[in-house]
Amino acid sequence: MKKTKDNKEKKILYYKRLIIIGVIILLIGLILQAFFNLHSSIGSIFTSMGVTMLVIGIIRLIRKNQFPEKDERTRKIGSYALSYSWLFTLVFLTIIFWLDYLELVVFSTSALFSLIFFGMIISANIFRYFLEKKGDI
Amino acid sequence: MKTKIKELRARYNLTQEDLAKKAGVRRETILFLEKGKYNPSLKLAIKISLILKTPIEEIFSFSNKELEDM
Repeated sequence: MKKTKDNKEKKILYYKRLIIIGVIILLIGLILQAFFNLHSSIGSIFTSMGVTMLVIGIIRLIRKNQFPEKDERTRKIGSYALSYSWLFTLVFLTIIFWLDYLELVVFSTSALFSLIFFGMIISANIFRYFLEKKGDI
Repeated sequence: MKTKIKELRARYNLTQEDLAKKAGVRRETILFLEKGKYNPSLKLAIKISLILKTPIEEIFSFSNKELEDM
């Protein structure tokens, strides 16, 4: 019983830290965008990271007394979704390589990084969504 | 896989939410378990069997074909 209470307190502390770090990153992003003459995407990456952490932290803190957000099924689904996403990225990179090699499409380095970054996140979430609907894997 | 979770839940007057909270899983997991769409870990199966005070083999059952395909 004590262990469960400790875990709960640890989780609450983790969510509070997540919110604080989110606010710091968000502020860094806003300051970078407002006062420094850097590449525009750097500031917006920090801002979006901060907002995401802040929102996740607040939602989890509000829902702390409800059901566990993770259990054995969601962990299993999450690991499968990441594996599929990794495979998807491998295929995606192979296609990009051939497109570039044959000079059909030319990507800049930053565009390629963005494509891979968002491609992995979006594909992992899509796979997770479909596996959630399926039940078991 | 067939399960008797739903009828055992009714016997003990437990909702899916109650059982989920007691077993420490999400409600959706209980939902998929009742539909026979999710194969639980041994740990979860034992937890459910203790909560519902029924042996595991009475709660979960497999057809011969399902056992052969395992």
